Amino acid sequence: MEEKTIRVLMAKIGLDGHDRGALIIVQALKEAGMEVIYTGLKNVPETVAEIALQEDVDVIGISILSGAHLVVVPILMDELKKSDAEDIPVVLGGVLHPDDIPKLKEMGIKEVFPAGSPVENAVECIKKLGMAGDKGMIK
Amino acid sequence: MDLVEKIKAGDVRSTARLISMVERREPEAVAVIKEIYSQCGKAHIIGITGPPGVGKSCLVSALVGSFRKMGKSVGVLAVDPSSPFSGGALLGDRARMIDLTGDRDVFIRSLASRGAHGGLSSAVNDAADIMDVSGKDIVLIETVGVGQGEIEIARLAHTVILALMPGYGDTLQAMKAGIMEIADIMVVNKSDKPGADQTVAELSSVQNYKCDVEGDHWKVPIVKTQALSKEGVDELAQETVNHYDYYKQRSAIGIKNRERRTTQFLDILTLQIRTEFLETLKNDHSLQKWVKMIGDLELDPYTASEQVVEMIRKSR
Ligand SMILES: Nc1nc2c(ncn2[C@@H]2O[C@H](COP(=O)(O)OP(=O)(O)OP(=O)(O)O)[C@@H](O)[C@H]2O)c(=O)[nH]1
Ligand SMILES: [Mg+2]
Repeated sequence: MEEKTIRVLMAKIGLDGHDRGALIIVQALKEAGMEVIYTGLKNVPETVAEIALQEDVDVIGISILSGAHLVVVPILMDELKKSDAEDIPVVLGGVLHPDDIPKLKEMGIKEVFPAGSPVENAVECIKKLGMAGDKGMIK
Repeated sequence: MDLVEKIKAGDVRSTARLISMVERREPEAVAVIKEIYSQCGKAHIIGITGPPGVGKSCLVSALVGSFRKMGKSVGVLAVDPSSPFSGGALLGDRARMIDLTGDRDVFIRSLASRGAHGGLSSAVNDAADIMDVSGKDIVLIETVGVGQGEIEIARLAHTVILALMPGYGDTLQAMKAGIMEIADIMVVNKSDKPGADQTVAELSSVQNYKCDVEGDHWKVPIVKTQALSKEGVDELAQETVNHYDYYKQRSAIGIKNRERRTTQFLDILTLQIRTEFLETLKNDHSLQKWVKMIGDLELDPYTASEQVVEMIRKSR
């Protein structure tokens, strides 16, 4: 039997067409020994939930640069709930106002990394969340 | 509902979790595989291999579209390499398949090669069985690049597609890797690029016949595709169906299945024997003696190995 490998879904939500920030995190997670499913640009919350389920990820990381996080996050959380997958922790990175952080946490986001946060913090946090999750048979 | 029932009913989360557990070879998951084994064998398993960047993931995405038009449900297993340094992986195949989301009859799963002794082919075998039992008509497996390990993965498919693209290097590379011989269908993707016809001509000159069925042969077709515009992809899908029918009409699917299961069995057995023997050796202090003698050039490793095998044989 092999030891647990943490699987992370990194998804960029929104229509703005660049993903440098997300790719930097992806690379850092990979270097930290995690398996990262990267879905490219232009995801919508519905597809993120579906992919998270099929890929059986331990953590979902979403990146939103468009400023639409307060709209997108409730839809994503709702989708996860509908699929009985609200136990999968979600972290968020992107351009946002500090005032929004408590609101996002209220909505169920485990941790928020505003643009400019050190990459190591995100990696550490994702690793911790990934280790904590249950990996056994779905009952 | 118990787990097997849930998987048969297409429950996404249970299926996905079971695949993670077979990847880790958890005894609990192995027990489920034992239980479902007799119900396998309904799906048509298709492998797609070819050099990095040739367009395998885009082809898979387009092919799934074609199969869906035929009314078939599809499971996809997309393998990307693990980093030999960190053990981590960037699983990016799926980014090319975004068009397929939102369809409950398509299940895509990314797998990292994780690279341990036959570990990947064992996980892919089990994952393919799980998708089969979950009711998928087709299981499409995308392998990593071209190489020896890839051939192992391709062997578990009923139909192997080799994807190449215009340019001389690839044909030669594929010949060197010995992958030509296992291709049931050859594809020249990116045929919008210059040189496609030349590549097709090159391939036809080395094109082979597969003689798995006694007294008969399958002529390997060469299909030109453009995965992005989907040109040629319906035809490719049809060729995979033709190939499967070819075996079915000759009642020869059993030959393919037996080949796959023999390899799988030998892999499992080898792994189990290795684990068992190494355990015996680790607990045996005399092993240290051998290691020292080999290191000091007092005994060659061949003789040492023969002696160890003899010792184990006697100890039974
Ligand atoms: N011009 C052209 N480009 C294509 C075609 N098919 C795929 N591509 C491009 O080729 C690149 C690689 O495509 P993938 O499908 O990721 O290739 P792959 O073989 O899966 O790559 P790996 O999984 O990394 O080995 C992408 O940038 C595609 O847009 C095609 O028919 N024509
Ligand atoms: Mg690919």
